[in-house]
Amino acid sequence: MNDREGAIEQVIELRLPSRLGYERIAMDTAAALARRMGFPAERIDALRTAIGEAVTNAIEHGNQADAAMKVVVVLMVRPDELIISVADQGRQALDPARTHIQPRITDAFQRADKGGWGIWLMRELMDEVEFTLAPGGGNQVRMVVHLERPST
Amino acid sequence: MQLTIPSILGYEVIARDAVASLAKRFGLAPERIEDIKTALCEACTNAIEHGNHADPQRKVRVVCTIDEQHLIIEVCDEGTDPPVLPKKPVEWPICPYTSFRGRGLMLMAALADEVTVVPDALTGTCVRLIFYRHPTNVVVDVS
Amino acid sequence: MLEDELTVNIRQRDGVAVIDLIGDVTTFAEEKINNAYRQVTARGERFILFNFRQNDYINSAGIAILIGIVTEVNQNGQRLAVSGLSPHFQKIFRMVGLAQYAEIYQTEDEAISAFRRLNTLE
Repeated sequence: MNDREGAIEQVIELRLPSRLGYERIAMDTAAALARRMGFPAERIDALRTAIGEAVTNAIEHGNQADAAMKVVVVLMVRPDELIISVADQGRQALDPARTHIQPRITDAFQRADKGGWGIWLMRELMDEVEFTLAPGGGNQVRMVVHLERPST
Repeated sequence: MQLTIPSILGYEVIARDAVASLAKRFGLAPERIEDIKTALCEACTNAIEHGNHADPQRKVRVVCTIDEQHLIIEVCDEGTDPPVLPKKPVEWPICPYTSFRGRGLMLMAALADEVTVVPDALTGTCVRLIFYRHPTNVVVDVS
Repeated sequence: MLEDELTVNIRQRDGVAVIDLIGDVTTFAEEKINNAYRQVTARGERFILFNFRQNDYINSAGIAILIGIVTEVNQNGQRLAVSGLSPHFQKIFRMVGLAQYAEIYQTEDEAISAFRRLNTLE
């Protein structure tokens, strides 16, 4: 996993069935990769949580928990960053307004639905978050974690 | 579930952790999971080094299917040089000059309940490893 | 076939209802956590401790469940604390605002001591 080995970026792709529980595998895979890249523990935990939310959303909302549909996770290793993209096959398009919610716990106390924290958590934990359309149609979220190297 | 990694040594560890995560989620016993991790590492290393000649542009594909009875793992490379697998039960030779690669393949064959080589849908080679949830008579001849 | 992700235990310790949450806290945890809370509330418990064990996964659905519990704790005049969370999930609790309504302790012992002091004050 060093620059000598060919590509500037190295790509790992994971295809998962749309069943809750499978997000754990994406989380563990990304964490293993982040560990190898030398990310500090705190960033690895943040990444695990963010990717868990992204894949859960893809399973539950994008793919409507249809196990036959796939969630595609692409992990791109670059010298100074890890880029994660999570794509569903787009049964249900993501309302762009939902991607900018700032939930508040005091509001949640008043509502029956206590949720809506997932996307907000992703934005809080990752260095960059961008929602787009997947190449094959479907929702895609692209997240970036920067690898801070100590200056030599 | 399907995972694709570049043919660069070191990435077999990522595949290992992904498959271990799957096995753990599906309630396989810890000792079985250790067997799976080791066998998978050997299969991926073999695919990277020998199947794909460590060409970073080439991919190793790991496909997992899991059900009540087993976990089936296929490790596929883009090479046309399928490995020669030892038959089960694996006989460990006393001779110390067995190649490093040979020992890796023997380990893989010894740990999995079934091992076969299958041709890939595209051009390439797959090693299929099957792990039973509840192994019955697993005979390993360690003479 | 996916493993059942959460086991819940209810114990009594020094006048505190300790609810052990062992494993993952996700959408699948909802019934178990709500049942445990209702059970201890039905017998009039005022002090409740959620003691997390073997936990490395709490997702936003789990957060929503805990916010639901806190809503009822506030309404019922109970006191809720949590222990056993990893530093990462303590941070998440603070970010979300849960820390203002459920005191965070590193260990069960610390939480019990704190409840004891509270009990003598009130």
